[in-house]
Amino acid sequence: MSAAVVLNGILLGGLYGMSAMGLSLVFGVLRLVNMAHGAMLVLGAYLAVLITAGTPLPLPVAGACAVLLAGGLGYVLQRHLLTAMLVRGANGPLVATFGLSLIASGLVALRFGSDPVSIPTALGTAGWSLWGLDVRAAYAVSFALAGVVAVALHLTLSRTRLGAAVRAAAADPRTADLIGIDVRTLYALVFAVASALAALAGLLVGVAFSVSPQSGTSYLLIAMAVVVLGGIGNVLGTFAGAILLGVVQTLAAAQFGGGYRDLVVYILFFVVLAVLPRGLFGRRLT
Amino acid sequence: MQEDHVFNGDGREAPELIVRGLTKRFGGVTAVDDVGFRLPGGQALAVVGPNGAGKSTLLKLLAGAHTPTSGSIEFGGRRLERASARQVVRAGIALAHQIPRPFTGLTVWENVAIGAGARGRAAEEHIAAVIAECGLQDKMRRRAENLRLLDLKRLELARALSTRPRCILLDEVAAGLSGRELDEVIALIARISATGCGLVLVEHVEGVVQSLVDRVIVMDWGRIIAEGTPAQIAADATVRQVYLGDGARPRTAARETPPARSGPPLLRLEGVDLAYGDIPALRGVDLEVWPGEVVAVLGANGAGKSSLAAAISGAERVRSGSVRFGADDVTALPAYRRARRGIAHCPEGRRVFPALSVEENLKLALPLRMPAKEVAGRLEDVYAVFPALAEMRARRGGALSGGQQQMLAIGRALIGRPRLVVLDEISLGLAPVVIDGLYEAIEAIRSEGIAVVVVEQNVHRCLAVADRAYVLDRGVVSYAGDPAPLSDPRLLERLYFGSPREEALSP
Ligand SMILES: Nc1ncnc2c1ncn2[C@@H]1O[C@H](COP(=O)(O)OP(=O)(O)OP(=O)(O)O)[C@@H](O)[C@H]1O
Ligand SMILES: [Mg+2]
Repeated sequence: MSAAVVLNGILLGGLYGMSAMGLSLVFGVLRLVNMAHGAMLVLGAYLAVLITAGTPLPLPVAGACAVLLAGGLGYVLQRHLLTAMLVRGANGPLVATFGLSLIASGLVALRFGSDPVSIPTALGTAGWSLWGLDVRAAYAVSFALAGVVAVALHLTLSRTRLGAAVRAAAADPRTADLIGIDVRTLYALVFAVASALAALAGLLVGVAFSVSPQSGTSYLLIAMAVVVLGGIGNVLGTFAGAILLGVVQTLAAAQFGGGYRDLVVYILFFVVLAVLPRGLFGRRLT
Repeated sequence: MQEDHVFNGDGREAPELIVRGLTKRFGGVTAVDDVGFRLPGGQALAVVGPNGAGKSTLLKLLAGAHTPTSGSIEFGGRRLERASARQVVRAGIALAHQIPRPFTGLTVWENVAIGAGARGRAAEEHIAAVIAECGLQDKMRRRAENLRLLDLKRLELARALSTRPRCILLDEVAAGLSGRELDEVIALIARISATGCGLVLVEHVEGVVQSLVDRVIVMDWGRIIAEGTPAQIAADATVRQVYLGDGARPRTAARETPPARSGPPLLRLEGVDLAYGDIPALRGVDLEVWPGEVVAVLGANGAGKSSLAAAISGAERVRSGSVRFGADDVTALPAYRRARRGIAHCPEGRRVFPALSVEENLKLALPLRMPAKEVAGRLEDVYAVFPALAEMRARRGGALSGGQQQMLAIGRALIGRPRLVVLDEISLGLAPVVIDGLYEAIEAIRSEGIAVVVVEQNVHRCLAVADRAYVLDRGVVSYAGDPAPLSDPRLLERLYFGSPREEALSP
């Protein structure tokens, strides 16, 4: 039984990693704690529901549309609202994103009610047997996607010229501006990618479990714990931290019962903050 | 309160500093290689040498900021080579860093107070006295991130002094100063030294070394290559070759054919006002630059030279007036768009990205869409001007010596093949021989038809290459035109500090 629990914990960690990737990116590059990250995740799931219900598009296409829409929304928000506030200090955007998250969940609740919905698909219920262990297909797919995204993001940031420009704009926006880097557009691009990843995570959560207008908060907390674990702005660390959290949480739930799932997240969060403030794998970008 | 008390708290005699076989390796780089010397209590010693010779690393080793790979450091009979930076400070050694990194978010006062450690009335008086000595009394409540480079250097000095050192290590604290301010700093260091505090000085400006120490060590590639009095060193053939350069060479004569100033100017500033909060920095400045021209901008510290550079590049927005570049009004354009149109600005204080490699730093200034092959070619162009950078292309910007960072910043400004370059205090921290190379490079740039605006403290170097010169006095242009008359120091002094304010002299 234990091996199955660990394996499922690892795979659940993939889903958590996906949920945290955007938060980590925005935190690392923009030094902004995006309080609307959870809301964007929820919004992604509901957008997909809305599109599948209103159009004949198959779920994967509808999902892709939802992800792109979320990315566009993120771009506009950062470009036309948050960057201007960021220039004057980190508090403005913090409050603003919190406000945005309240508005978003309010709107979702108004349109869909506050009962949880899940995205019906064969993937949600399918399972495989891996080395004799039962595995949920939704978990496995999330894990694979999260791994690919983490590696791709890492390589883009560390190896490409675009990534160097993002790191420069994060470290010293004034000098970056001076040498011809369009800092505002880069910031908006980063926020757009983060929003799209949040929406993708929401989609996967909706397939694997269910979402409600309120679930944004708990995913925001999980994502924060993961980011703190993995090191701010360190995307590979985020992925690793997420796996760790997934395993610890699943083990705790198996040991003490499901009621302890969330408590474990908070305990891990505080222990890491107190003992290893730079996370398990150190800080990047900044 | 007596002066002695400010600098040398307890008045005890300074102990002897003995260094033996000191070596520091960073990976494959041997920055300091088997260095040894003795500094008897209270004496003064200068360390000079080319950029990247290992001078700053040596001082950091002495200050406990780096741990030596091997060798020993003895101060007053105590072994310090394994001591932490805090222990070294308590033993009485303090370092003023070449590249100041104060605590941002804290005021000047708070930054100094952290160094001083102690609390209470006596400590506060001491802090106030140190701040006053370093000329920061008017900026005590200002936050460190709002200081200009020269004040940052003063703050470094104040931080070092506040620990009541018995041996003080100064890494290029006088760089970028000239005239009165240079004399003031020299006098301050002389007073510190006269109290019996030991002194190790790293400085590229020959005059500073000569007036403060009687013994000089020359380093190259981490090793000591010569040792003697300042006069002996200045006469040493090897030192001239690797470090000083042939400063005796007559200055490049002004070009026979000044650039034809036909057609419209490339850059035209009209009535430019610039202010920081309610402190005005530029008032009604007019300036024109034609293609292929070198224009010098001179002025005392605080006259507004860097603000003028910032107004040109868009690093700061102007309050009123206009900036035209080519045929267009660029007053409203942000800096990055002006950069893309061909205005490059190499800012004061280097500002390289410490976490990015040398190569990444350079490539940042090129458009993302540029094909990889052309990018490689552009990199090679920069490496041809600064061969030292080619050898460390993969190294982090933050792991370069001060002078190497300066080369990187200049290379970054030139790599995009701008139509106009603004070079702000580029010779700061560079070895004389490298400055020679740099000014040759400026001439080469000009001959390609690129316009160059040079902001410099180093008046003579600058006037030698300039086609025209502007002098700023408290934000107002006090002279514009032929550089030749400015070689007269009395005229320059009058233009810098405008005895009674006269009508702006016309060319
Ligand atoms: N942390 C580091 N990692 C790798 N190399 C380093 C590091 N710090 C310094 N170096 C290298 O060691 C050499 C000596 O550097 P150092 O800063 O001591 O030179 P310097 O004599 O002070 O030069 P400058 O006059 O330019 O300030 C240089 O080649 C530099 O690139
Ligand atoms: Mg140095």
